[in-house]
Amino acid sequence: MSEMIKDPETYVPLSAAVFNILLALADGDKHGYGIMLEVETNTGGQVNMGPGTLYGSIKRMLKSGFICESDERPDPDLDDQRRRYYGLTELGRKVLQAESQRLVNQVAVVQRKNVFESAG
Amino acid sequence: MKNLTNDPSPVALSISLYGMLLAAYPTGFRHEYGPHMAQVFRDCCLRSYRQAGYPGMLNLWIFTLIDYIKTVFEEHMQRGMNMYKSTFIRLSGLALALGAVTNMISWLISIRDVPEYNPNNYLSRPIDLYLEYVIAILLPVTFLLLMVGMIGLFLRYRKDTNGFGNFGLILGVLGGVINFGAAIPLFTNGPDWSWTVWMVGTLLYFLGLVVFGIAAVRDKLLPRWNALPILTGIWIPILFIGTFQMEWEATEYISLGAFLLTGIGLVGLGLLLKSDIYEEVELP
Repeated sequence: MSEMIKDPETYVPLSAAVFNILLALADGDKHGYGIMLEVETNTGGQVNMGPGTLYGSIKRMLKSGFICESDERPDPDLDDQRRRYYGLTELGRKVLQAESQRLVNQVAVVQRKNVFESAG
Repeated sequence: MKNLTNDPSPVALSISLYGMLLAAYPTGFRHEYGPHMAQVFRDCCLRSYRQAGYPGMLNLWIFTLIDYIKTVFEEHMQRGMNMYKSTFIRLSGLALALGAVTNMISWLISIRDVPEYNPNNYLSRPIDLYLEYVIAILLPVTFLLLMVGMIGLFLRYRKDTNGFGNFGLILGVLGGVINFGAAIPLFTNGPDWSWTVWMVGTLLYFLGLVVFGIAAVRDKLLPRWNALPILTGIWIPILFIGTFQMEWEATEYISLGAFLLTGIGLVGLGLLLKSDIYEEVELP
């Protein structure tokens, strides 16, 4: 069967959960709770994921090939070996780039329309 | 998971409760991710308890329960949809193979030499009328089975192929629907135009198969026999175009060959579809 790598553009726009998980993994592999903390920090607490949302998203992202399980441990001495770590795949990174570009374009429209000035 | 006995009692109790709640998730999901979800919940409990005590735990539980109800429902829905779809695709493979067989039987019946009915001879029976009824029943069933088979091909391979392959599959489904729609008036002595509609439907069906076959050869979509859709779909359009556009005189042997090759190809495609295990990849 074909192992066709799809165009990353076909996956955007992403849900908030998926985008933030990809973003959390952009600078290195993390385990589930690490991802949850990073998302909370990155969004100033605006995006909160429970364990169900987190692992439901992880399951679908693994199947879609956005992320993969990682054997690497940032510091094995400090961590529980039974935790499962996840990292970005090439497709995942491209999808993250495509979604980020989409958001940048949206922000450009916001700026062009002087949304903040008119609101003030 | 770490030693739970070291956890403060509200945390230990919460983890036990959450562990029990996990039973509501589909088995596969629970086995794969349940221990990790429990681990994450434990981490959240410890943080909430240390930061805000009992009110923090209460907040965490409210948030977790909302997430729990939503995701249990989502996971069951996805599992149900996937099972329904994969069962349908498997059965549609059988439908395609069976449709090919009934198509060949109908065609063989339709070309038989029928002795003329003689009401004065007790050995002569109104066989013609009987066979007409058989064909009138067999052919709509055939077209229904072939349509279901093509829908199965579409559902199975639409995500694996690109615009060209999908165009072929959509053409095939459209042809199958037209074919089946025209079958009822056609075999109940309906209007003459039902013949034209039926022929257009048949042409679309097999041309769609050829287009999909080109995509299958190019992208290796099928587990094996990627040229099979082309080899299956090519004969009927050649026969139609040769007979109606180029005024060939298609002998019964040529027609028999075309129908046999098409039938064998459809049986092969049906069995291929039945055995090509389908697993839906949901968009995240």
